[in-house]
Amino acid sequence: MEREELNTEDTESTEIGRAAPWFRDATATSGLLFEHDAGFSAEKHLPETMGAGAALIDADGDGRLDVYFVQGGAFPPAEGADGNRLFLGDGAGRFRDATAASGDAAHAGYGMGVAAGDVDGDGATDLYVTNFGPDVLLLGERGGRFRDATSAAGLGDERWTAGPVFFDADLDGDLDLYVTAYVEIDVANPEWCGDRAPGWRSYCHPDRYSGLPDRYWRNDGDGTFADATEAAGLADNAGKGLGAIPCDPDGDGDLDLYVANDSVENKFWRNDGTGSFADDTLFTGTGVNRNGATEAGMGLAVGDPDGDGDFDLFVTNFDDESNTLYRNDGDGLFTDATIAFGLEAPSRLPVGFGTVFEDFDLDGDQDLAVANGHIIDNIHLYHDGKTWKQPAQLFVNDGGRFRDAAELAGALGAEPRVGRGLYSGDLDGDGDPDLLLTQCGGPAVVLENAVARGGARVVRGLAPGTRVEARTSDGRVLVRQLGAAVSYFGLGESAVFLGAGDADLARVRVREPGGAWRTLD
Amino acid sequence: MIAAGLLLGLLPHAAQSADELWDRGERAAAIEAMLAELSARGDDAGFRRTLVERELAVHRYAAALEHLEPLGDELDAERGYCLYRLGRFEEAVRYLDPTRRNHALLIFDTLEALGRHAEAADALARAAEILGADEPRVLARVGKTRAREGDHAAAVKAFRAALDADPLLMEALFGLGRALLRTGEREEGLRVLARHRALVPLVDELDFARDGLDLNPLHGPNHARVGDAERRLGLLDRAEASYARAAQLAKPEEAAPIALRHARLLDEDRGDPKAAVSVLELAYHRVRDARLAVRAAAVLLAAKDARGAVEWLEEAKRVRPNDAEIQRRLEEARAAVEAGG
Repeated sequence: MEREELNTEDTESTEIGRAAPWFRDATATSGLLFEHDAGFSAEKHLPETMGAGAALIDADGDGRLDVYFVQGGAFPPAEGADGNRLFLGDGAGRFRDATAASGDAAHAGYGMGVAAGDVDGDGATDLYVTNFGPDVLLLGERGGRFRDATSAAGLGDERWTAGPVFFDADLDGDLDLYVTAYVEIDVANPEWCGDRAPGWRSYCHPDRYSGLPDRYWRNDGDGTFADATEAAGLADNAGKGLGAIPCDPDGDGDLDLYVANDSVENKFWRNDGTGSFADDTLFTGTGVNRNGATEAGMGLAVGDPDGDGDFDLFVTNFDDESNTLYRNDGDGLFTDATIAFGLEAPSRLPVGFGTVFEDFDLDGDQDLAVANGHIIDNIHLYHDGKTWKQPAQLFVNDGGRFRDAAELAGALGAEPRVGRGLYSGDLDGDGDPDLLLTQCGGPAVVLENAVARGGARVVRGLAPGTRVEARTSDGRVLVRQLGAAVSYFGLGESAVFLGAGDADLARVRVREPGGAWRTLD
Repeated sequence: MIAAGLLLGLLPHAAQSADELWDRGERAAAIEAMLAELSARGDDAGFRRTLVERELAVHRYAAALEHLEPLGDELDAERGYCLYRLGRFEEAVRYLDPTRRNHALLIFDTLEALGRHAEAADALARAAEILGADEPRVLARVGKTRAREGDHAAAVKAFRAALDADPLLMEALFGLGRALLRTGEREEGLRVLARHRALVPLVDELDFARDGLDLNPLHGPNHARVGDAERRLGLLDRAEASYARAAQLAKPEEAAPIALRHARLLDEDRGDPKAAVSVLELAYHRVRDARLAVRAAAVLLAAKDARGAVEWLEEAKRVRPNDAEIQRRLEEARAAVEAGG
């Protein structure tokens, strides 16, 4: 990104006051030129509507943020697809395509999502890629190269898998893996949904298909994983899963798991601290919305938008539903507080996918961003108020209630897109959180933070699910979760960006999963 | 003038054509036909109203809103509904009609979604006047309001009353479970929530099936799918009516699967094999599908009427003379007759 030019523009923005946009399109200057190929076909196969994800990682171990994109291809999947792409960053907002030298990171499946983490403890970032077809585990090596270790690790799943995530479920010091699976379709005999008139064929609703069970893979610490779905108590999960997010809403130091399922009940799995889970969905009240209705869970975020010191859950959903914010009431119960947070009405028409809780303006509270886009390309024929491409949304946190701040969204919401992934990270190395948005069948978009102008206290290098607390000079306690920011089908930077507005950060302490509190210098 | 007269002379025929298309279930084509006429019929309020009604029926809310524009404020309620469906809630509440039965709760829901709780409370009071204070959906909303206010005991009372009137009202069942947990009634709360969990997929299935009727209400299998969902929920009267409507609308190739499902309800849920065989017989006379005859035989055999079963299997054999399975069943039925069945 052109730092000198940006500084000039920032000065001008300041002069015109608070209405300056928060995000600026920096795609062209970043070099992150990636176009997702959905393989849209006349048969309207459902997988064409889903992808794809990306991960903001340090792939080559140089301390600078890189980006890994998951690619689709022709559908049904065929040989010779482009494959996934790895872009290495220079730490100042410029990236170069390093796929050719990335070894097996150039994997070519019909891709969906990606998880990232150091699963073998060698200090390099590893990847797990879900596909419509066989998944792959890619172990990181020196210099941004990856090696396919799927079989050697005892992994392998040939079903339609979706949202993967690494986290230390059993607190044994290594990263375990949870992979949601979606539905079973017959590619050879695709159903016809919608009107038979030319141009009216439509993608089918997932209600047409049977859900597939998710899988939990326990890392045995010797380079192999074991399918421990049943042993961990996670077997009852055939729920058309699109995403899973580890989190610690009860503050007991281990990571519970919240799973977003499409059109069926979401699941809340409570961890007893040993990697053994119990279905606590009914008690927590996080399976359905306040009307007792299932929703089409897509993207996930964990945060503390009301600043009360515990983690709330946010899930994005389909149109004619709202996105849903489950407020943690602190007693094991959650309340669907979507209305109270001001998120009900603005989210009823869009189809929400990727989402991020982030303090974009570094004023000490978490704002919210949502990538939107319908799954049905001809939805306008069936409901003329709906569109395939939809603008992403920025919700500004005003004292624990969100405001749909379209006037501030800038390039984030400037044009309608088929939004899917939305990931936060410091892409230009200036010390504030930027955004990367992926599209289904379209180019990725880099959105530079134009409101914060750097200056965040950035916490990095800790295990996914680490709880970060910061006291401010005006008496607030900022609570954040580091890592495991899955959004939809991917992963944001494993970092927390702390700001306190006009106040100062007095003390920052962290607790990794299963660990003790320690204060950061 | 002559040209206009000719054009006007054509209009009744064109309108009839759109009506015919509509009546045949070709809804999109019917609307296209009306749009083609619209400029010539610009001042015809009746024509425009019909167009709007039809657009609303197929979810063309933006178009309906546009076509409502020259019409008077007597159609504000339709404007309000369009705005609601287009997600323009602030505007919608200005137009929705609080005196209409189908808008009373919509206004409450819209105000709630906007977080305008005090106005929502007023809207709920008006809804109670119009729909009755004991209407289950009104009671469920009373329960939700009480729960939001933190009065969970009152919420429990309202939700229970709603469920007394409509045991399948999911929002009330879920609300009751949550309110019970809040009042410390953990066991009962979880029991209620478990029942809710079991019913939700079935209710979802019914909603999904009903959506299919919106676009093509004259498609027999759409009604049968509604019947299937109703049957799974134990709504047998409604399921029977849906199957009957499906049979009326079914094309020949659709008739057999519909009759088979209807018969299963009558036989297995109603315990009325005679009625089941009647449904199968009616369909068989129409399409002569061997599956119907085989099912009729199975129903009769289970009802200890082996002779009747033999007759139906012989009929099936006439349709499929080389079917080994039918032959096997026929021999079994004959053996049952010989054994005194």
